[in-house]
Amino acid sequence: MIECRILATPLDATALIAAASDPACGAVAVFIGAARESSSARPGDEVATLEYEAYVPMAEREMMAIAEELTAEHGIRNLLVHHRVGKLAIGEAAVVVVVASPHRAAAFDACRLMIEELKKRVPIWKKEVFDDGSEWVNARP
Amino acid sequence: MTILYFGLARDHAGISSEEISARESITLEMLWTMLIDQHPSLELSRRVSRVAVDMEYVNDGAMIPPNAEIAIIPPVAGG
Repeated sequence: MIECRILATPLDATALIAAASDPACGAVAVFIGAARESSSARPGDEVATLEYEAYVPMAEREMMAIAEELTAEHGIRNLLVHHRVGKLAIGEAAVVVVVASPHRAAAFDACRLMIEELKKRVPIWKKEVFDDGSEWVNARP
Repeated sequence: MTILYFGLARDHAGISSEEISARESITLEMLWTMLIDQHPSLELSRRVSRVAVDMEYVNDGAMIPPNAEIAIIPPVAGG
């Protein structure tokens, strides 16, 4: 089973783990990307909030394409990705990836590749908001 | 055609979407020229952005059909 969604509500990692679990799977790997208080663009300054936006239909389609490649290549049984958009407080989950497979090596590999590929090509943007301004992450050459 | 602007490109364009009338297919190069004519700050976006036509990334030589949905995609930062 593959499920890739962009959501404007808080993510529920526990529910995703439950949905991915499967009697055929001895391994469930989980990655949670959380809103961080420090910024690479402005070292030393504290991030107040993060704002995510997505080109939702294309983002879901790109995540789906990545997930389908990975499940085929790594023999994955279940792969679920939920990514949040909107305003996030520090510490909140921005993305949850859950991968279930019969053995752990494939689950770890696919979980990592899913988030790495997502970061490269899925149309989602992140703005770090400071007390005195804001900055689109990765946007400056 | 419909143009969608996201992230930094939306800041540069000053709008999140617009309609452009085109009777026939145009090149990506022509599209950028038209957009930058309307919104000069988009020149800055052009240097870093990719373009998607009907939700697929396209390369420099692409032809864009008249009723396409175009997205200007500055560097992505999911996760």
